[in-house]
Amino acid sequence: MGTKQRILLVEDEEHLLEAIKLNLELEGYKVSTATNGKKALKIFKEERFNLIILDVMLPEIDGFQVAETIRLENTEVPIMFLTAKNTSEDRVNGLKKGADDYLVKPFNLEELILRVGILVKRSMKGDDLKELNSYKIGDKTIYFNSFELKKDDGTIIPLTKKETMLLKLLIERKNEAVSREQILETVWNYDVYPSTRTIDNFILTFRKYFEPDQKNPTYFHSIRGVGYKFIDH
Amino acid sequence: MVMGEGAVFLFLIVLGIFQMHKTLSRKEKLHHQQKNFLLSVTHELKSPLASIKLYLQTILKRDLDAEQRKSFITNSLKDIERLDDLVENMLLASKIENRSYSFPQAEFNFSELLNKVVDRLQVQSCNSQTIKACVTPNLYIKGDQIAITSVISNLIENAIKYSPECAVVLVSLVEQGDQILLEVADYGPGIPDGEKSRIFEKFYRVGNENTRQTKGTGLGLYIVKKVLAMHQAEVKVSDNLPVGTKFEITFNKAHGN
Repeated sequence: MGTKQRILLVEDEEHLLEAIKLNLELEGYKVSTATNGKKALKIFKEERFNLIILDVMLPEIDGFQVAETIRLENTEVPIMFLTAKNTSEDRVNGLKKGADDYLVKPFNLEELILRVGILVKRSMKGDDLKELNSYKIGDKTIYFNSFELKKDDGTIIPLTKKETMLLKLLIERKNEAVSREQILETVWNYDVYPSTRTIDNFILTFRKYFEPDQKNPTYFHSIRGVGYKFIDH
Repeated sequence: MVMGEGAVFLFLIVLGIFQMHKTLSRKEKLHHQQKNFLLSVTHELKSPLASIKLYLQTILKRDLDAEQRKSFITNSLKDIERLDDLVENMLLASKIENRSYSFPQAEFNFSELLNKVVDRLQVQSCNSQTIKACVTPNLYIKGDQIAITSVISNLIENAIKYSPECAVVLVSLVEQGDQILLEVADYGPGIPDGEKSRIFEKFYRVGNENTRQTKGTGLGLYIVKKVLAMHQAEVKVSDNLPVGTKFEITFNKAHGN
């Protein structure tokens, strides 16, 4: 697995939070935590997650309301309720609020891990799971595994690791705006925070490589205030 | 004449409606409190059970180092104590309710008992010492030692629960003539005047159970009030200064003093 899959864990019971977090980390996930509904929504807005695990009875804003708010702006991210509320009315209510799964406390560790695995996999969409080996733009083909760009005339231009990763990310999300956040997370993995200019320089290089007219790009577009978009018809 | 009869008739109807409304709203309130009680008991029972189960399954599944294993076991034991307290409160509440149980009356050293409870709660509450106790030694009262233990635990645990992190909780026990005065005070948010008379009601808790900041079942202070009444002791709640809540309990001295 290249970048770690990220999980937001929202639980107000300190002991449960500690034990669940440890187990998820041992399974290879990167876990952010919140102990009340308000903090959960704040963290959700700042980061991107592959799964949200939500308790229902929480201080400030309850879990049902948190799920509803998340669903208003994101219908994709899987949500799992992890709660002591176990009546069928509660379960139906939870699923109606947009949850994908509902696990009742006290739960089995194995069951939690399996369910988390299924939901995270689902969040990675079909495109992410298929390995993209090469992609052709105009008269050039990008080879992601060998980090190079081959012109039709046989000339080879070497690519850096970050250039290759960014190209792959933009191409995989073809025709979709990719936010700076997502780029930072995938390519820089939040280790170092590059300035906006760093990402801009990468895009300028791509334009040099691929655009017939660099001032009026057809492939690599900047979307003001959002990020970048790769267009290929 | 007809007018007079009509007026009486109307008055009786209005009175009837008023009484009916009062009864219904009382029933509605009780129903709401019972629903809240079920919700909070579900949460209070299942949460520690869930963490104990998860800690044990983690110890079985993972290759943890000795320190981590010890911390998991210590936390599990704390959860078991929390469950034990809850079960104890529920049993005591049902004893009070059934009236089938008579509280055994025996003379015991109240100062010693109070010190024991303070010691037990001190370790759990915070890394820095939070309970500041000033206990006059060898004061005796007559009563049910187990039920009185529950009363003291409930009062001090409440004070800790509503205190800001690591703030001081004051506990004092002094002699006042023929009586013994126990005080438990905290520097928490305090209780609004309107709520003060209601906090001893069974299941009564302020706010919505789904978004509660503090944990509990609404049984603690009900038990305090009822057990104390059976011991001819009085409980008073007032504002602590500059902030917080103060509980004052007055017991009759036993002859051993």
